Amino acid sequence: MLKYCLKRLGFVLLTLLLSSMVIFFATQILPGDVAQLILGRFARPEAVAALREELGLNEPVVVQYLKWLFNFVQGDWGLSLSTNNSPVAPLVWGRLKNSAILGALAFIIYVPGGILLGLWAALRRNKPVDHVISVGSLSLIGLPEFVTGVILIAVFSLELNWLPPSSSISPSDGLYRMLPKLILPAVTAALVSLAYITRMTRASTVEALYSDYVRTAYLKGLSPRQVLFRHVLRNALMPTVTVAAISIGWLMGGLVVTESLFSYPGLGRLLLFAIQRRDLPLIQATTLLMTAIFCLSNMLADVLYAYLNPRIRYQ
Amino acid sequence: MTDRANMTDIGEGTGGGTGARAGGDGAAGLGGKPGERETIIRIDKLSIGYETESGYVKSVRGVSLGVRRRESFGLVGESGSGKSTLALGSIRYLAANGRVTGGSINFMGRDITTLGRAQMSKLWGRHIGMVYQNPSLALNPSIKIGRQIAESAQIHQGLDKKASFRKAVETMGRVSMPDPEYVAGLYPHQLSGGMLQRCVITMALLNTPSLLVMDEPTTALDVTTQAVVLDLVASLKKDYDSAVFYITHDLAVVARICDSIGVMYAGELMESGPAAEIFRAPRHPYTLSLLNSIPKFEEEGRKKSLRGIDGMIPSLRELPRGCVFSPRCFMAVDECRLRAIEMEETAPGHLTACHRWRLAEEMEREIRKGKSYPAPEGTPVSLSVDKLSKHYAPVRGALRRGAGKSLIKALNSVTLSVPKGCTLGVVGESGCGKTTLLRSITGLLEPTSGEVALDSQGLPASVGGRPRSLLRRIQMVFQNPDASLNPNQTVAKCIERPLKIFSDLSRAGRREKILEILESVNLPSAYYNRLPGELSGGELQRVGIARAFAAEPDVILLDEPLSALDVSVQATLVNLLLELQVKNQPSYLFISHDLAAVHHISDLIAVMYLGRVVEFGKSEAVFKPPFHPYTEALLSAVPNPDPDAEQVSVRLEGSVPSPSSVVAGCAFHSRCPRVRGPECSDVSPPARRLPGSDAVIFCHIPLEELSAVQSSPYHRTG
Amino acid sequence: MSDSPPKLSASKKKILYRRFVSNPLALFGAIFFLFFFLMALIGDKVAPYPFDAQAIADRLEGPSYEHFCGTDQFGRDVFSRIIVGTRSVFFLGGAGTMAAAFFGLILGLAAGYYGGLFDELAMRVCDGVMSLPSLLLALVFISLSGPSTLNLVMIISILYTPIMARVVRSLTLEIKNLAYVEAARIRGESAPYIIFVEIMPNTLPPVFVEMSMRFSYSIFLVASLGFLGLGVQPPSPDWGMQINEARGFLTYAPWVLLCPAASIAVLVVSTSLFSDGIRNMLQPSTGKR
Repeated sequence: MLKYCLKRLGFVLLTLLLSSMVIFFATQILPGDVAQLILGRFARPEAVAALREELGLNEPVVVQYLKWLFNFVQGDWGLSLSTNNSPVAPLVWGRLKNSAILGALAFIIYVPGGILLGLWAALRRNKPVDHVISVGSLSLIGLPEFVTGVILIAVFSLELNWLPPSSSISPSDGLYRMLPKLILPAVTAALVSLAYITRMTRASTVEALYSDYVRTAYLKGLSPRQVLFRHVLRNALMPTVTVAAISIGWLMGGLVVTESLFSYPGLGRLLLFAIQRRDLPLIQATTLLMTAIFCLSNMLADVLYAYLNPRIRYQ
Repeated sequence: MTDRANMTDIGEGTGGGTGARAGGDGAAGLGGKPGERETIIRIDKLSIGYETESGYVKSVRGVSLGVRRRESFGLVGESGSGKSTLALGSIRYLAANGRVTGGSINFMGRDITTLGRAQMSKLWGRHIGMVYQNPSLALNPSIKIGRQIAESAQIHQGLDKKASFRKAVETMGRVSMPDPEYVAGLYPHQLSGGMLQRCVITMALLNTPSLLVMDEPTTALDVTTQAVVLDLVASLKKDYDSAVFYITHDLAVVARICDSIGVMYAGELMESGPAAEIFRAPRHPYTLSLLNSIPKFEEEGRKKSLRGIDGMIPSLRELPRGCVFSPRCFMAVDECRLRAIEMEETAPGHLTACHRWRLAEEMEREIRKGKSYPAPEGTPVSLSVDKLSKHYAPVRGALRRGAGKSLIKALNSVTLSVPKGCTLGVVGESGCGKTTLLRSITGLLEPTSGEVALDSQGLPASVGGRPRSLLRRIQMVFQNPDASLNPNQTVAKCIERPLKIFSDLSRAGRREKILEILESVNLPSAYYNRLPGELSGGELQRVGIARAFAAEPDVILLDEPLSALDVSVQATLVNLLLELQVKNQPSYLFISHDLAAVHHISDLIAVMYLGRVVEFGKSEAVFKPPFHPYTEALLSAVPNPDPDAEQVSVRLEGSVPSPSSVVAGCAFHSRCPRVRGPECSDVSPPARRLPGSDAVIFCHIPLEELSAVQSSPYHRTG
Repeated sequence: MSDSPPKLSASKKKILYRRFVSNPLALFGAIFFLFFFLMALIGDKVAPYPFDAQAIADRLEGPSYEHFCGTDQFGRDVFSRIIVGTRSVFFLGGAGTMAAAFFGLILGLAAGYYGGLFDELAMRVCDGVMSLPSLLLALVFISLSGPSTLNLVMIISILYTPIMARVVRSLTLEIKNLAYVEAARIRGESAPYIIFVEIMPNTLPPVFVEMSMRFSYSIFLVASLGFLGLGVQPPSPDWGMQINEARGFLTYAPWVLLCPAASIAVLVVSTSLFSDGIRNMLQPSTGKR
């Protein structure tokens, strides 16, 4: 098991190394002359040349990459171009904390919610409840966050006036003051994953309910309740648990849109800001960090699955 | 409940009581010893139906039968006969869309026809034990075996975790599970099929139930494993005090372990009664046809046509009028199609649903008329393989070849040959290398060493290296009819392709030829434009055979072409293969795990074990003593459809080892019941030629010694 | 163990048709989907106003008989902009999905049939792309290469090719070991014949199902990119962009925002229902039981 975990971790590191290359070359090499980009189209050629020298752009690409990577690993993520050359790292970590709070809130909404809805639908298979949940989740799964978010704002902020439509928080806000501002964005970010987990749980539960070993359990004399808790859930929730882990990674994508819609100062909004300003060090740092979170969530999913599934645990 | 003192030993197969009876008759005069043993379950005119997407289906109609304590009742039927529905329905476990629509079920003197689920739960597991067809699916993959078994005792006997676990381990020991303590701590995927089935049986027996329902418990297992499980089932009757309700498609299995049998067809019971009586004097044309569809281990019946049953089981939505079997019955007269058939008693306890049963002897004569297809004598060798080996490196992804691991020797220096127009049968259990042998001959796999030759001319090893003229000469028929035809191509297109490649016929000429070939495999020309999805399994296999013959090959490789089909269909295909061979004179290489089928159609037989040939020669020599010890074990594992035959039981322990763990010596030494010592495990066995024939046995034991200890498993006692 | 009765008793098409029609939600989805598709084809002809006709005097008017969905901040007819905006959604999503299906089919068939090093490498790359969040990848790609139509189609096909390739590859692996393919190989058929005649036709139903699902996800992606300002560029109408622009006056002119939001919702839901219907029709076993 430990060997398996280490192997997965090695795989994650390899993926990260590859994506760091992709990100570096995509941002540093592809858009043309970075120095020109920084100084603007009308800069004097001498100034551009001087900056090129300063940024080390005259060195071979590989050397540039290795230097960048070396610094990155040490926590020196460079200076932001768009915010008066302030260091990138503290900025990114601060925003990550905000995103993590929002993401965690979304997570505790959609994981239990999705499991309960999925189980409910599976146990009432082909009954009206099941149809409503199935069609509802099928519809929600394709709805972009900004559409559901806008509708939620329209209903809960504008019509009912229960919750604020914007979620710009300040560092001094305590959790108590933050919470009302967090509810709408968290729900918005949660809905797609909620739908996904619901469908996943329903499908695997239905499969388990129709399996031969459930028939065995019934014919052993177990009551439906005992069958559900001792035999069905264990196998049915195995895929759900792994999907829940992977969904941490998906949240990253959803947060970009959600944070932007609710003006919430998180990592996603920072990425968008960096993109709009073409702030290359900031783009590099945020994307690599997001990729890392994504890979780690995938790894967590694999490890959890291996841990829960005796077929893999005892090979 | 369990009155052991009252137990009487039941002579196997003879004179055992039967509980089968027509609706509600008294127990008197049923051939057993009346009053001694109570009827555990009695089903009376039971009908079961399903609500499906395309309408209401009556799966079981008006079936009556009974099983008594310490009796085993075998319910036999081909697919679609409703036997599993009946078995599960009789213990009130039906899918949500299924319903008992008529009749009654009496279990231990109590009417359970309308009991609720909660009440049935008290019977299930406690008084009714169930064993399933596929043990690897029947156990929960994420719970340790001991716990799963123990659960049953926890619920019904109120034992705590520890006590129930102890009980489980103890019961596992009673079904002769090796090292039960250890096995109880494993997960299902860590055990082989045979071991898993023992666990399921343990689970069913834990609370010493009165009724044991077994739904095809050995179908998913290899022959030698099946034999061990069947021994176990047979011993249960003696050790436990239960009634056994055994469901199977395999008449031979029933003959081996059941006291009474019922034969089902299209949801109705055709015939029931004491097993010995039904096998000796069947009274229903369906039973007769079925019994004569199975190839027998008799020298005189070899290479003769089998009975078979033409046509298909009727759709349960459009049942024929009158007798359900009448559209396929060779004895049917107008009257059969007019009125419903009631079961009649033909002998004490023997019931049949045919009003012409008095003509049974005439039927039997009619049915015995078989054509014979003798092999040509003295023809030259057509296909031969010489020291063919195929070794694999254990592969784990294309980037990392497993280094340092021992090779998997799927084929190990195999030498065989088939004369023109003859059939070579290759038998062996799964993993013996028979499929690798076929694939190496076709060139789909490149052998590591050795050669395949046609008419003594060596063939290029890979299919890509063979010219068209050579490719034409070797064709193949595959095991799974569903997968052997492209679902997107019509029957005609499928047969046309080899004609297009291997012949220079014009478009019209090909069309004519296709129709001709269709006729030769007994398919109507209306099938020309059908898609595979519109054909039954047997018809699909006919198209597969047609495609192989279209190329007019010299050799046809038959890769278990019968094993996915019902016996009655198997028989018609055996006939077709025999007839086409006489007509077109191809050589067959017939691969199968079914010894009786191989014996029936082969002129030569090779027995394979772990990639090696252990015995090879003329069929009459191979299946007669002296045998190779593995051949002996295989033969004695095969259940004989003749209940009077006395079988020598040689049983193999454990399962086939992995082909990578084979080192020097005899491949079979680790399981050989006649193993002698270090020479077996260290020295490659010598080829011993049988006097008077060119059969060879690869064994360290001298032939005389083998002859002295072995006897044919099929000598008749009566 | 059977002489299994035939699987199809009536003609295949009839059964598929019946299966589809018996699913009211799929039918409902199909109708709306086709309506939007029609709009994508002829939207600019039937829209009551040119999508870019400004009328500053009529800014932010509420829904009325003249303007079903009111007007936006420049006095443009929101309804017309929605109708004309359908085209970009369908074009981008459709072209991207089709390109992905095409490349995925080629890649998957080749990787599955030939196996070996090529397979290993192709699948590693696919895993790499699939292991990254798609919206993020699209964002970075578009921000660097510019939000042109070609780039949008390209990123959609880059994102979905790996999934298509995976689906096709696993099907190919399964099919290539089936007896009818072995029979073809024993006949000495060429690799192209086996791949395109024996294998490919049998991969198409699942590919079609996957395409319909990918298409509905691509609506999600295109709309989200539009919302973030990286989709179709003004003045061409785009639903996501419309919503983004209208956020400022949500409180006093909600129709400018809610109407395109509702359109996206209806299109997404109907596409999902439609594609689910197709899946149930072609692969009934994997659908609801």
